[in-house]
Amino acid sequence: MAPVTISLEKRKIKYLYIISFIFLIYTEKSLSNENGKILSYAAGCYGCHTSDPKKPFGGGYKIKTKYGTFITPNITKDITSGIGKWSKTEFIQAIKHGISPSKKPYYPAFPYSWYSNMQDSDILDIFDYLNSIPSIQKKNSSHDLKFPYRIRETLWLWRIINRSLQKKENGSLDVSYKNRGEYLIKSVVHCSACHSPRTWFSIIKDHENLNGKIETRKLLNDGAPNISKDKIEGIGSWSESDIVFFLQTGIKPNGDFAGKEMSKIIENGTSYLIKEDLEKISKYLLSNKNK
Amino acid sequence: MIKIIFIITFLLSIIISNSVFAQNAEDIIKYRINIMKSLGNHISIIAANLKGKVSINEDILPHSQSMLLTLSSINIEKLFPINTKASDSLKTKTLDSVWVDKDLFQKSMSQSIKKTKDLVKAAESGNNQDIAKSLGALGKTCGACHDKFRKKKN
Repeated sequence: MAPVTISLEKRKIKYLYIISFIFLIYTEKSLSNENGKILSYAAGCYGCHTSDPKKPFGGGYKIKTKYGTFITPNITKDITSGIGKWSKTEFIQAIKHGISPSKKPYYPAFPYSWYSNMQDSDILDIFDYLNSIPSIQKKNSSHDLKFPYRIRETLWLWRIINRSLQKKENGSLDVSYKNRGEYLIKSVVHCSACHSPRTWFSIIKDHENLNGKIETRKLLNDGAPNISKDKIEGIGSWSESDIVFFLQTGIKPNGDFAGKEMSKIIENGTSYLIKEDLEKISKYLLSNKNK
Repeated sequence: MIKIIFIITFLLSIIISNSVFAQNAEDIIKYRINIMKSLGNHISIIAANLKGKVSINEDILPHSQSMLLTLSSINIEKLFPINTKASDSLKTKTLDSVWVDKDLFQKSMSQSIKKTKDLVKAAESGNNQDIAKSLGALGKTCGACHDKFRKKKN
């Protein structure tokens, strides 16, 4: 009888291994899926690619700018108008370099230059999350842009000029982040897209500078205020918990509220971030690096 | 002579009544600023508890109720009379849309009252997560109202 008992024990251990392995894979997958969900909101994918909350990520959201109106595309896994046919490499290329799978350049209304410093693993978590949610059949609409901006091919020239001007303004284009707070602010949540001053060519003058952007106020009829650590002009008098609470609820320390554009970003974006990440953002904003 | 006295009296009465009118308008503007500030103070008090800056959680309910009372007792006709519109001589952050889109303003105010009622309910339950959620929803309504009816800061 002894050999049978041993073989049964061995089999039990084998099954235990298999179950643990499946459990580990499942846990890892659900964790990355959760990360993908959080980032797809915090990075603005939901906010910019959702015109109807019943059709999340289905596109059709209108971004009005001085160049005309951009209409965002469907980014659900729909095969016809979404990203259903895209490979992981194509998705990374689109997010980091602003090039579509058909090798067309994206308009910079899509903030790929901020995402270019995102970690590939984070981008792939977003890709997996978008492929895990229901597909939405919604045809994409063309942008309604003024001449000459409507000629997409001119973007190739714009990219070359933009790149060289950006190098001139900001030095190297390769950025390394010292901590997660800086990474979230400068890449994922791309705060400087609205809170930094720009040159005539729409180039961010200084990525370290979050002193507010006058043009945004005119364009969106809303304020993109100074969020530097300056105590008078910026948010230097706020505490870390004030910033966390603001990015969760839109309520300022004086009991006032965020404006229209920022409350959308909070509702559809930053409020999804976990508290630890919001605390890291606050720490960075109140640090000496945020002049 | 009588004619001249009559004209001077008439002109003086116009000047005096205008200045009284302007004085009254300025007082009403100050008054409504104080009401809005008091609402902001209640929110700050609730928020300070939610952020953990202080632990006087028993204050959340009375301050939520005070906000509901304040908002419910606002009489739009009295607090926003037409003579308190911004002009060269009268400075106010209140936009003309308050009087142009009166119905929408009234609707926004009712919406804020509804959200404050939700906040009071959450405060009664004592669950800080629910309170934060309700406060956020109230903030969104107030913010939307400010966007349409309050001049933006420079």
